[in-house]
Amino acid sequence: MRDDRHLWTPPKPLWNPLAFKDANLCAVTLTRQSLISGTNVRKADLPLIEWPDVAKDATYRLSLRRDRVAEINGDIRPEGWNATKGEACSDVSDGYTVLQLKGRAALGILKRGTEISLEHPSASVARKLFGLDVWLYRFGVEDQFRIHVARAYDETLIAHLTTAAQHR
Amino acid sequence: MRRLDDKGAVIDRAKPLNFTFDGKPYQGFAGDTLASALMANGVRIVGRSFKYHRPRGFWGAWVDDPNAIMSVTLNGIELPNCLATTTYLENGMEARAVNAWPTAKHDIKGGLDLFHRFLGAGFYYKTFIWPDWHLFEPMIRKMAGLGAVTPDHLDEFHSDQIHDHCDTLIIGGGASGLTAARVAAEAGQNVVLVDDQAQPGGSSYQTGTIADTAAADWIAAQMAAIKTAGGRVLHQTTAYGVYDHGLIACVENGAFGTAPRLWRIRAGRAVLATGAIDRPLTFAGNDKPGVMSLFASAEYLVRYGVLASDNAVVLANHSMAKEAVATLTAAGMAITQIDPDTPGLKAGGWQVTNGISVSGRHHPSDVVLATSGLTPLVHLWRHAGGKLTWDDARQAFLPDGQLSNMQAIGAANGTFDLNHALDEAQAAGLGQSHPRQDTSHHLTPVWPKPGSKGRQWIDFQHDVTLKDIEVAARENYVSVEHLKRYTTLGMASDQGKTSNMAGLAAMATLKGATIPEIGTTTFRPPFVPIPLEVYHGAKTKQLYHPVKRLVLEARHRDADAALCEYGGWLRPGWYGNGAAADHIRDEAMTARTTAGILDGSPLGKIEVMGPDAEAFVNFVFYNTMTTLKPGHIRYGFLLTEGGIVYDDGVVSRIDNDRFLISCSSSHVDGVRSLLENWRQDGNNPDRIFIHDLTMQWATITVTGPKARDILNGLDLDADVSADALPHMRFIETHHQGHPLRIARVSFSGDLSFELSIPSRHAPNLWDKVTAVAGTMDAHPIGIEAMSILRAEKGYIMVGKDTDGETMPQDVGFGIPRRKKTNAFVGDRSLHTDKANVPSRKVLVGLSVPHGEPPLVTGAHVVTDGANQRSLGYVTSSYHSPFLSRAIALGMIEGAVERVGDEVTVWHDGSNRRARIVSPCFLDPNGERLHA
Amino acid sequence: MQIFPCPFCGPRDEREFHFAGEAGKTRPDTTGEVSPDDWATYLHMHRNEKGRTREVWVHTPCAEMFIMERNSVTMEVLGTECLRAKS
Repeated sequence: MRDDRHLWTPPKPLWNPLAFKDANLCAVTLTRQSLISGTNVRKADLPLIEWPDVAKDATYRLSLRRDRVAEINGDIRPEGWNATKGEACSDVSDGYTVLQLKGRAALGILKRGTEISLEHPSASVARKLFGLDVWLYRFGVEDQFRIHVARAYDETLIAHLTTAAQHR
Repeated sequence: MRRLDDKGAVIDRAKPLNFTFDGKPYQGFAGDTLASALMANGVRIVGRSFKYHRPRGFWGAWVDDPNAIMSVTLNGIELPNCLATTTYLENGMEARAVNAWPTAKHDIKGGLDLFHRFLGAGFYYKTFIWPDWHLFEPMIRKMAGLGAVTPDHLDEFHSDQIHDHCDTLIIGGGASGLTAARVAAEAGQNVVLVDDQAQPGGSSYQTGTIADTAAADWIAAQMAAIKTAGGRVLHQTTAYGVYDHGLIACVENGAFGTAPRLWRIRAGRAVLATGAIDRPLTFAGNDKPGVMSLFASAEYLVRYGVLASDNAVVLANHSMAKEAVATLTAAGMAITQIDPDTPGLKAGGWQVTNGISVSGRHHPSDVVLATSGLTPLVHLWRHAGGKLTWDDARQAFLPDGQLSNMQAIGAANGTFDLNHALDEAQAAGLGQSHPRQDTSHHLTPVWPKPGSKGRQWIDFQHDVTLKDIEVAARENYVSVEHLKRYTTLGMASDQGKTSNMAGLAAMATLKGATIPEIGTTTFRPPFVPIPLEVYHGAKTKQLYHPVKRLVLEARHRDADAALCEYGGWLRPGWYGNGAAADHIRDEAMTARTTAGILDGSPLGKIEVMGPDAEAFVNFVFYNTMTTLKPGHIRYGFLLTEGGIVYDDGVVSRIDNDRFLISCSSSHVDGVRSLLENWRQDGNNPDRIFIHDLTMQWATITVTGPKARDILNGLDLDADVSADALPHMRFIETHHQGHPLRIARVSFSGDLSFELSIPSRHAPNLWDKVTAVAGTMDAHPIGIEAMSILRAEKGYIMVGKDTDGETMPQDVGFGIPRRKKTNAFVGDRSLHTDKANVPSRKVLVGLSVPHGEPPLVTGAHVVTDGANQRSLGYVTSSYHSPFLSRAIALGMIEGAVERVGDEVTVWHDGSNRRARIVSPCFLDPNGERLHA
Repeated sequence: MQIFPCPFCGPRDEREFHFAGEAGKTRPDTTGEVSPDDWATYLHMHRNEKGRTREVWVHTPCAEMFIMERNSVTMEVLGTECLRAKS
């Protein structure tokens, strides 16, 4: 096997926001991310975020599939199959790194990685961005985007966003 | 050739620019192309043709020029094969003709032309064969090729790639395109107009006035109106390909030396206003510098203020030439018109033309302005699947029929009358169709005359002559696609823009067919050459094929791990900066004598939950899972429906309706897809839910005789004694308030625990474990050492010890095949004739005499005697430091009966002897495993 | 790039999708007798139509499996159906 340690840049945690032209990128720490699957998960009291909705609450659910949501900052839930509720739940707080991209140039940066527009709605916030599976939605304000990506690919996504942000 | 003071709509005389060509200094203006600046300076020879190194001058003014190919250097960046007619001049540019040395004017290989009789179409099948083609080939290959690429790598040359969408994409910013864009934008559509020049307007500058307005003012007014109405315009942007579902790819050029930008535009509909290009005439000497396109000459005048000559012979066969002749005459050019259909027409002159000779008379001039008609640029129409029809009046292929999301207007549609074109554009802007009107112009067809005298050029860049077409016809390469490949006509960087029509027409005459009967070759993207950077964008180096990164990577780097790519992850192969073999050996020994600590985080962790979870897991797995109790772990295979081992792993039952599938690190995505596919197609997805938690949990493996001592040293709130936690069981506990799962599974064959914790707590746990381990002389180990340990036990690695034919019974797991009664994936395939063949390859061990080195992985076990054939091969082979000997695993035919036999192992011409043994070399009774 | 319509997510780039085989194949009941011919047909035989085809596709971001009718010559997408029985 070949020693490739010098071919890969050692990972740098995103402690401080990266400043781009007309946009910035930072990491977000959430209290909790939970996968909840079941036939009725889309019917709940919490706001269900699709694309291009703007999530504005402290706790909200991301629409992923017809039978799956990701609950953000919700209560601690027991993991496994809940027969009463008909739901399967798993904690994924450590499975996804959450990035936040904000600014006038933010949507343009995202368009380097996927065919996306505010005029084309989608029932799911799950899509591919730069070839990586992500959950992408707006949070707080119209030009602020949250991106959940598998932890093992967060370096790759940050590199892609940085490269894309350099093109104007 | 000179610059006029009062012409040149797009140049800025206030900004002079300096440049060199072939070492000589010149001056031009901002707005010039390299071509217009060179022409203004009277440079007539700008390149050499590909094969015969004949001098070449400018034919066209834009993408239709096949000759002026230059290598251009600016600010230390050198780009090969730039077309001078489409390269905008910048201060300090150094241009050199490619394919010529030392200069285009004086090329030492110009003498090659004398050998043209030996270098005709298909020459490499006919000449330079005796005594051996290979003697001539290197020299001929060295002389071929256009331009050279410098070995320097442009690190910052990355193409931006952006997605966009619009209602209406207007392709081409000439009079038709501008009109359509304005109308569409004013009608409220989301409009994007792409034009490939720095200044839009297409050939409109040749028209004095449009709608009673001076052309330049009219163009500016359209642009302003488009922008006011919210339309967007992309300049220097070429739509180069039309793809499915309304996707049109455009390349946007910027300053020299910057990588172009790729626009992937999803257009609701497209309007093709790409115009038409001038066609050369075929006559003797028609390739000489100075023979140029009549319309290009008009373009050089109106856009750049360059008069090609004070006197010219014009050869034209159609009435559209009148306007161009009038424009040039008004600027001071003295023009003699000669009928191009006259037999014996010849361009005289040695290096450059000195005029036309015909019917015994010589008409001296510096340039010969030729045109045999206009060819609409229908490439994108054809990409979109649109059909073409042959039009006799225009002697051209025109867009035919309807496409649901594209319409052609203006010259691209064969509409050369401006008033008709503007009507079409108005309708197209509103999304309405408009029938093509008859042209008011008349044209007398003048096509190549096969058999006529003199060397007559069809493809100027590839040096394909009329005689070559005759040769092709004689040798029966008569289909248009064969004609192209045999003669190389249309295969140069201009892709036949100025040569295809003449070539087809010549073949039509030779075959006694019509031009439409010959047809056209397939039009393929890109319309113009584009650099490969446009296709890969940012996906180079670390972004080319990104690996998954461990949450513990920083810890591994601190411990000097050699990080290697395994199954899509970057993982420690071994630790240390010395020789790999030494570190690996030490780690393997440590793991057997004290313990090894391995980062097992990439192992798949897929949970299957729901009321049907048990039935589902039992269906997808080969092994019976219904009998697996909560808290227990079972090893199992996932098969394909063909009965082939797809993946192995362990299944842990957490609860009655909750299973954890721990699949191979490299197969997680595949296993997840496999599970989801069976869940949705063949089972009830409302009763089975699959969560991939591989990223959520980090796993630290502690393996070896001291493994339990290390766990006890961690102060865990759990009983990990042999009674409390036997092999293949797990417990769920907590560590410092965080969930911790401790599974007793082993890949090493030794006492082994897998500690799984949410990823963010992994560094903390790793520090504790390695600290405690260190006190017992136990250390981190990498994948390489672990690979040896598992091989000592005969544990397989799917894809290494198994291949695309391996079934579970081949690797020692035959019981479910005989006993499992529920249906499972692959079940029927395990009872086919092929599955029952006695000579199936089976997993065995291979042993060599003590002291001999390991067998080569992939070496074949062969039959003895004559007609050797392979019985199988070595799949894994290592030196085992713990056993002080070489060990190997292999898949060998009918090997169960051969255990104990000596066999021959063949590799790369040499034979060795080995003995077939059990694949388990260590602790066959499992005492170490069950400690 | 083509655009395919996921029944749940809506129209998306084709690179988000994965072809999962021809529609209409039913797994034989392997708890009973299945002849070698029937099994081989199930495993290996494909209609592979030129023109109108019915195919099973997966939209990988949401894992939805569905049937898509396409024209394999013109690349036109003719329609989609959910794989699940209509509720």
